Amino acid sequence: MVSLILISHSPKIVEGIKDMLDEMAKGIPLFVAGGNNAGGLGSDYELIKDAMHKAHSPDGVIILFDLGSSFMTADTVLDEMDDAMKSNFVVSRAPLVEGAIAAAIEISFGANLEDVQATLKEMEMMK
Amino acid sequence: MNVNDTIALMKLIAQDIEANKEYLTQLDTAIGDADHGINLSRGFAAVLKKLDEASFSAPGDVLKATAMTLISTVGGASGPLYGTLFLKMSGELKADEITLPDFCGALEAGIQGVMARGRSAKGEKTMLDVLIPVLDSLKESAQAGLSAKDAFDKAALAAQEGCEYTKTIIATKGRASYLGERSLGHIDPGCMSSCLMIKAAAEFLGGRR
Ligand SMILES: [Mg+2]
Repeated sequence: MVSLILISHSPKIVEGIKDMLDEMAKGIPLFVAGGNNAGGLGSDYELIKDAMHKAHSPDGVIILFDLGSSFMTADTVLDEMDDAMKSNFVVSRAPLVEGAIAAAIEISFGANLEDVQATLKEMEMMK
Repeated sequence: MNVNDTIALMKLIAQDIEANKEYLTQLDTAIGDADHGINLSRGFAAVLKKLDEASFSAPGDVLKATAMTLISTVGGASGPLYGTLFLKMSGELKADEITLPDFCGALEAGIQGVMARGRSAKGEKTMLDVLIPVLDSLKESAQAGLSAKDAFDKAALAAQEGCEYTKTIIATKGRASYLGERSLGHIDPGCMSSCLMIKAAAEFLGGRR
């Protein structure tokens, strides 16, 4: 199964999206990382790295994020991975909420990485 | 600059970031998310701790430890950005002594890293609007055979000009980009923190301890 990671500056945002996904696509490999390591808004490198390593799957991993440092922190973690591992990850610029729902539903019906990626591609936005 | 000089300079930088914490946050309140000073001060406090705990054999090692600490503790965009800057610089500074041309080469590599990480270029109201003019100035000084101290005095002026320049441009990257034209008239906080670091380096070379 493809794994899904949601990264936000706010823990409440990713927890809220997780609640929505539990209603619609329960049981998919879902990982979230919200907030900084001081309990505030921002990004926590260790939390994001941990989510990415836990989510790692040979079937592929989709990462959705909200803003700047969520992306840049995940990008930093990707830089530290070897090429084989890194190639399993896809970072999408789809909107976080809508993208998460679309991806989760596809994943719950057994879609492969390419299919999920194609769906998200159509939703991409400026970030 | 040897390894001990690099540690001493990094401590001055940490001190100046802490002293300017409110000011940096104020700049980020105007056009961002009001956390630049708080985030960097948290990051550099952790750097200070790291510098006291670990031992280092070359200037590059100090920069690498600084980079890794900033990446894991800052919690905002400046974490991966300054982390990448120092990490890429550290890769170029393996020798025991840093010369001005070495520093230029390292800064160039660091800037390339920041551009790649932030998907950004000069003129977008980011720290690059200080770092790039600083590099250009240092390169020119190195070619003219200036001393490191004189070169950094000039670079500090270029850094200050870079900060002022960001008042005249619209942000197209980062949180400030959502403000569009309303970002005009404000100094980019990332430029100001970069400027503080260059100034600290100039002062260090001028004898500040
Ligand atoms: Mg900020």
